[in-house]
Amino acid sequence: VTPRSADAPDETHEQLLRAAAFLRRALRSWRSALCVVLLGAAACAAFLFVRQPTFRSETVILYSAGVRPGDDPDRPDAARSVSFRLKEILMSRASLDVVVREFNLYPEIRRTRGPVEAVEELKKHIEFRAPGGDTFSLAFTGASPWEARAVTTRLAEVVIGQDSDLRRKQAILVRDFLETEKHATESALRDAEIALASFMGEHPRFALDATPLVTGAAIRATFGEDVGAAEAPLAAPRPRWFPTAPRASAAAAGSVSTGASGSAPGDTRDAAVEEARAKAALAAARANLADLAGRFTAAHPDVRAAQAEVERATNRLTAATAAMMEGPPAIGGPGTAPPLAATALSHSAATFGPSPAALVVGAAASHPRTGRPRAPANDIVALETEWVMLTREATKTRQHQDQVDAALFKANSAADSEQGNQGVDVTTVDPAFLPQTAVPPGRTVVVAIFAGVSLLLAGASAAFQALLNDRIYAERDVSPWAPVLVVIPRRTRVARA
Amino acid sequence: MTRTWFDDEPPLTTAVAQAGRLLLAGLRRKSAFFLVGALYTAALAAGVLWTKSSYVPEYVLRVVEADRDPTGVPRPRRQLAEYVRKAVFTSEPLLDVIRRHDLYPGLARKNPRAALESFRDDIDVDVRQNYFVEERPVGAAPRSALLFVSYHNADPRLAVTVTHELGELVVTRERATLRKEATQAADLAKEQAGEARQALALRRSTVAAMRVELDREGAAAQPERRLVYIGLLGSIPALELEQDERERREASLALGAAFEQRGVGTVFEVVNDALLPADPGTMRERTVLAGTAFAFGLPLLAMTVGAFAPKRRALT
Repeated sequence: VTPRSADAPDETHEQLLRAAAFLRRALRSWRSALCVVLLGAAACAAFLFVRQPTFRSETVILYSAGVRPGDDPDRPDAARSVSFRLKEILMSRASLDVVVREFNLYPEIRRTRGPVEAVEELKKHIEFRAPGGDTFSLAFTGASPWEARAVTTRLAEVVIGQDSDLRRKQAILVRDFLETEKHATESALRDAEIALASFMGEHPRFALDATPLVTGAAIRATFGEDVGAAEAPLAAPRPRWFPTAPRASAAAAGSVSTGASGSAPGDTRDAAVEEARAKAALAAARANLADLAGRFTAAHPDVRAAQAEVERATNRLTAATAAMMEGPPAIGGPGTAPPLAATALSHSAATFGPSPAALVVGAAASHPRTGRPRAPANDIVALETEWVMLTREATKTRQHQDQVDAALFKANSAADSEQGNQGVDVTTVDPAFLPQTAVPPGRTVVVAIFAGVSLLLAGASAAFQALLNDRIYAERDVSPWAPVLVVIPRRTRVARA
Repeated sequence: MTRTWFDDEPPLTTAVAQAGRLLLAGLRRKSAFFLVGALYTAALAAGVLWTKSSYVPEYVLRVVEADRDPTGVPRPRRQLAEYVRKAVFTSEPLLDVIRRHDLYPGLARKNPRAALESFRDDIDVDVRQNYFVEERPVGAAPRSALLFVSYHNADPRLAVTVTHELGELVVTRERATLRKEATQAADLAKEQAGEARQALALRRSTVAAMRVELDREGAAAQPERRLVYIGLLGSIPALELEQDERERREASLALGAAFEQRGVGTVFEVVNDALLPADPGTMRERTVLAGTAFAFGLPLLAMTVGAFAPKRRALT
């Protein structure tokens, strides 16, 4: 009988002994554990035999936009869009199909399932990342180190080449579109200016209007009761490039005169009128600029447009002053200008649509742009309305043309850059390397994994068998349930004794 | 008042008494206690003596963009750290550093690629106070960023040398890149300005020739040609404007390129030249740590030995 001592240290020792006993019992099942380990070793060998090592190569591309005139506010996040574009190019079937054929990749898949599936397989082995800082990494995992490097290099070349082509095409497309747009805008501007000029030819007092529209209307309204008288002294002055307009206006009821008229003004007077107009235009532009400068900063587009307008008006005044100093313009000469212009305008009507002369002659008919009936000469309200309409139309078209010009300038620069390969610089900063080891896990790691799992399973198997084994091997196997009467030692111990 | 199971739980003093009993039991087993204690002490001493220190000197660069119109100089990278990691610390220069300093000798001989990866793992690049992520308004002060480059190594001298070289590599390569970008942009702008000048001259000569012809023809001149002349004349201001704009840009970029060529465009100021602290203090710290571990670990060891003491059997 072995009663428990009251002052025993604790249960820890007992638990340890129990664990040792269980371990001994488990070790009795070493054969099954060994079988599990052998099975694991066989599985490991089979896996290593079947598994083909893969090799990964990587290249880094730097996308450098260089020095740009400024960020385009309309563009989305440039880096993100570049990343998307490069990825799209890389993963496009057309690009990958070329690479698959060139390197004869996945021949089995191509033969059995077709080239499309081969491209899909290639996509699975390509890795594209945009870690930031305008860099993009491109990796390929292949069956051999040389294949991995060659395919990675080729993929980078394809991406760089196609991106360059795409940018070049886009730049040219934008430039062509803007050039077409510019032609259309120029045409519209010419029409608007012709309409305005013909109106001013008919009603010269409007030509001197350098004040804001409402004020100008108010001033003219004060002279409104004597419209005909107010226009009479100015009937002679005419738009610079439409010398017959006033005369044609005067003879609106009749046919266009083809000869020089005695009432036709001299060119000196033309120049004087032009100078007066230029001065008025300059004053108006300056007033507008002062107004805008008080409300906005110098960088505001309206202020910049106003500044440009002042510059234009200044140039116009300079030119007008110079013309006055020089005397009559050279074209056609003083005596020949009116008939020549008249002939030109009547000829151009057939070629270029309604000519200024025709517009002026048809003053009582309809407006060339709006198609509405033209205002009678003595209806001040109708005239003001038409004047405002024509002025606004011309201003709007001119602004549109300015915008198109600015955009075309940028597009031209971009297209030139792309054509000369001087725009965006896409370079391979880190070329594809020849991988020296297979993609992890390697053979050692695979063997270690298999060994670990096998040992674990072997231990579990032995422990399970020990749990199921109900044989009694030692005193401890009985003592928890019943008192131990006698212990028979092992034969070896008996022999020793 | 009802008693709960909680009231039947032994108090904390029982645990202390139990620990004391374990300790005494362990001390009674002198041979086992001294053996385990000696092993523990040896392990601590080995830890103190053989654990190598890792020195991490820092090379700090302050990158300041050019104090000029930002549209006329190369733009700084917004994600500077990623750029340096990927585009500056490329394979070729890093392998060169590995070869020159004989870093990771065994690995470099066996597998240079693995040595390169290890080298990259030991390099840290960090960017702080990065104002390049913000847009610079017109007229605003130049933006800047602090770039930290460090390299871990057990040898303090080697760590300093390599870190210093890495910092210089950043400066050299980035200066070369900026110079190249600025020069390319200036060349392109020059070419474009030349084209604009040529286009304007051509248009002016066309206008002049046409004017001469119209003058000669006089009244017999075709009206369509006269209108064409007007159109050509009207297109000259636009061409002049374009030429003016291109020349302005050419001048701006040429100046920017000159700044970069002379190294006064984008500035790289060395704030910290990879210096190490005078007393790293790692040895002292480790000794203190080992002493503490010894003082608290020895009683625990004694208790453990006591816990495994065999049960005393008493015959009744």
